[in-house]
Amino acid sequence: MAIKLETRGLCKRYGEVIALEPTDLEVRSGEFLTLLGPSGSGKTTLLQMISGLVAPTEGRLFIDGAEATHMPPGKRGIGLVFQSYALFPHLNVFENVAYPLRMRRVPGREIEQRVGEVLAMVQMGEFGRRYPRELSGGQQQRIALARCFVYRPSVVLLDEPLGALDKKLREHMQLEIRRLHKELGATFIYVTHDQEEALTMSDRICLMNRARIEQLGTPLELYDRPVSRFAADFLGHSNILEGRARDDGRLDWAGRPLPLPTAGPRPPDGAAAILVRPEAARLCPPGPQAYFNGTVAQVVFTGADMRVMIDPGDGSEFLVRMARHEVPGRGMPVGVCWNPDEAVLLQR
Amino acid sequence: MAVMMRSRLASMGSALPSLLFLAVFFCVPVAEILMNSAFDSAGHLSALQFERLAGNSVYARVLSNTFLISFLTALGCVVLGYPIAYFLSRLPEGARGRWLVWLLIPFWTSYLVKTFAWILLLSRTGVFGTFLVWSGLDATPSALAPSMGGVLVGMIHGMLPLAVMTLLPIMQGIGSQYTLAAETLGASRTESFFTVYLPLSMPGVAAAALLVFITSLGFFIVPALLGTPADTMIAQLVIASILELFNVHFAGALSVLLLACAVVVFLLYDRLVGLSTLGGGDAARPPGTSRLIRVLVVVGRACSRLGAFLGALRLAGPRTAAASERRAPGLRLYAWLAVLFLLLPIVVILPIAFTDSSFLAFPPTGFSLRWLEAFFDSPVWRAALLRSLGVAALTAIGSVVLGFGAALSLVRFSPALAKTVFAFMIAPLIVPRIVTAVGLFYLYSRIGLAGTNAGLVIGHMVLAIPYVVVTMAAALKNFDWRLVDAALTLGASPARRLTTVLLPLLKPSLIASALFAFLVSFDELTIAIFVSGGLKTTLPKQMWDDMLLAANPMLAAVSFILVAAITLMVLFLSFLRRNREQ
Repeated sequence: MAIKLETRGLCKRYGEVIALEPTDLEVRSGEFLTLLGPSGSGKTTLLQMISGLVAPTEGRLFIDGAEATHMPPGKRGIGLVFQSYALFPHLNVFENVAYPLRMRRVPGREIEQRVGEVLAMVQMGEFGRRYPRELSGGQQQRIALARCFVYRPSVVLLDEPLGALDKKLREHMQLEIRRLHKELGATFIYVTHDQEEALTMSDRICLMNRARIEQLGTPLELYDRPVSRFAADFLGHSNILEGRARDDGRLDWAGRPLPLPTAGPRPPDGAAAILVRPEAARLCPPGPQAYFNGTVAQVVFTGADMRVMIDPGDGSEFLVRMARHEVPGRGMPVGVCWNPDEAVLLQR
Repeated sequence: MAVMMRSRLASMGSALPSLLFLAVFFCVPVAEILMNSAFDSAGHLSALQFERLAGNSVYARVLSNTFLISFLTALGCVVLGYPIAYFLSRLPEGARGRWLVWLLIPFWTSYLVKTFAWILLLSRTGVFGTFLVWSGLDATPSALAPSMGGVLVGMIHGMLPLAVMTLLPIMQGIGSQYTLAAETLGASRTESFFTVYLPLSMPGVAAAALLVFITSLGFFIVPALLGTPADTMIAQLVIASILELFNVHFAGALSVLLLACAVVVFLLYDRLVGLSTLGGGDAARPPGTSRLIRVLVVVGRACSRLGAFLGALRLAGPRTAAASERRAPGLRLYAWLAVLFLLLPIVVILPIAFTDSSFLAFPPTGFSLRWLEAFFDSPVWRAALLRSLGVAALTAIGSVVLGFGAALSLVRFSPALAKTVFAFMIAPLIVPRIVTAVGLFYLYSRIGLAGTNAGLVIGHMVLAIPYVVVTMAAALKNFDWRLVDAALTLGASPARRLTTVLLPLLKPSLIASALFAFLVSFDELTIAIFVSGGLKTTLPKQMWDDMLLAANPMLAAVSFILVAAITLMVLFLSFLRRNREQ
């Protein structure tokens, strides 16, 4: 697939503070890429440098193969949807959406037509005469999207656009944005700190931590093969078992030998950790065939399934997800095992 | 919970004293003046005074003159003040605080001192004239004042800080995301300024223009001292008709006219900007400009082209965050020049205070403390200073007590009631001072308060309460009432909640409003002209009388003391604010 946008060693420092370490990133044409990470991880800084609102300290940016590092924001062919929407309060919905067209000197009749089309696309066709303050949060969000889509930018940047909406509306708008992405065929770069949102929406996720890229891959790759404890912990629920790699290819976890995944590289001797997802583990009768034995500390009903906390005997907790009819009672002794190939050896 | 607490702490009753006070000492006198205008001396209803106003071309001239000067002053202040406020609004918090000190000193400096400075600068033997002779450019320079130009320079210099201080909060409220959004949507910096920033800042422009206009309408110090008789303004006419012609009915008619103008302008203000912005209310709603957007786009594009053509024009906001780190050097230079324009005239007075000559001359000859000594040795001046200090202190205490009570009630009223009460509380700011002063003059002469310190304090409290209400209403609006609830759940009695939570947290605002009230009284001339008399004069009144006779070095010494006091106070206030922010 063609490369739409590329950063080479792009980096931002504010005095001593590093907002983004030198970063190389390739964004493919037409993909939905999510920049995911906790606050302060550098995801918004990266987005702002791509948009041109923040100038990089070092490094270069290429759009369609052409250097764009110092290009003004309006000339990059990029659309930015602000976290706060930034709808112009002094202009009505129609004029807000028409603004980028007026700046591009599109003739009046074409403006009417294109604004009408894009408002219909976000299902806000009736609201042209309203002012932003007269709209709900979700409606303002749609107008912000429409204002960005109306001039057909080939790259759309979205900075936590659903942060201010409640859960129900957010889920609805996630689907809406996915639909618009398919309809427009533009490249979307989406910033969020919500891992569920990232998993459901993205073609690829760029996970960021401490001002650099932690891992880049499809949602499945990130979920199934996290490269680090941070990545394993940030996406989904996880049991991370830290111990020592032994010569016989097993992990010594608090005196218990646990199997290491058969595939993948062997860890060098010393500290190592494996990740077992709660849905990969299962309960079995306590005994020597279990990887470890413990007691049921807590059972939590979450709607779709049950979460069972197992105490291996040292006060720590191991989480297992299971169907509700299989759930053991609190305090019962149980064994825990899993398919060794569904566990992940964490490199960092 | 919070509502219940507030209702207990500040029942309706806390607004009552201030409402009663303003009803007796503001509404009654103003209403009486209005009545006077409509009756003749025999007590019959008559339009005679208005016929007299309409029938005489001299009055028509004074009227048109008043409007012209007020309009030009408002225009000048907004045009000159807009870039300063824009520059300040883009600065980081700390730097803005340092710049504000230089604006607040001229803002709080007495109009008398500022006008005196312009007399020194513009008169024939003044600083500019002396410079022209000395440099050989003009051996016999004509006086720059008195003249219409002198009046305008004095008025604009006097009110420019007011315009900037009005524009600034509204500009600060305009988030940078709007101009940034415009630029990502394809606007150049100049286009984004004209199509987004300018319309969003219009409420500030309207507020500044209207406030300056309304203040100018009732102004008399500058035109009396820097103008020719041809530049007479309506407030001078009011003073003359009372103090020289003893014609209360005619003064009433003139006051009605002034008041009507002020009310119209005030209603416009409420319509355009919203009254609540004065009390720290919701951000001003920019008027919908959808219909104008095409014009703005064309203007922006034209200016953008012009800018590109000139190459160096840096009118609009920063294009990128990096650009904002660079900041526009042109704007900074302009802000420096503006501050110099505001401060230099005041600074020029200071060396003259130390002259050893018996006459005003520039450059001052010799160095001596004789005028400062003379000031403190003179029983008249010393008494005036002490009276001013005492009256100002009592005014501060009285208006903080009444104004704070009113503000406490305001926050728990329904929005509609709060707006009405708020409008009433700040009415003394809107009604031209001269009208209030004339009204009090008649009320006092009937109830025996004329020429008394009590009369002065009451009059000054009428003027100072609005400042306290505005300051405290803003502070209470941002106050976290859950803290008081927390104290309640922890077992504090109402009195303890007041003394352990509310008052300590509001202390900076209380001190600030007390200082405002103090300064309003200390600098007040209009009421003093009518209420204080004979030996019982205040410092501004004594200065005014001296200035009308002849400018002398003693006035420079007084000005020096006033400027020094104001500077200390401004520094103290900015220190307070910095402490609060930390």
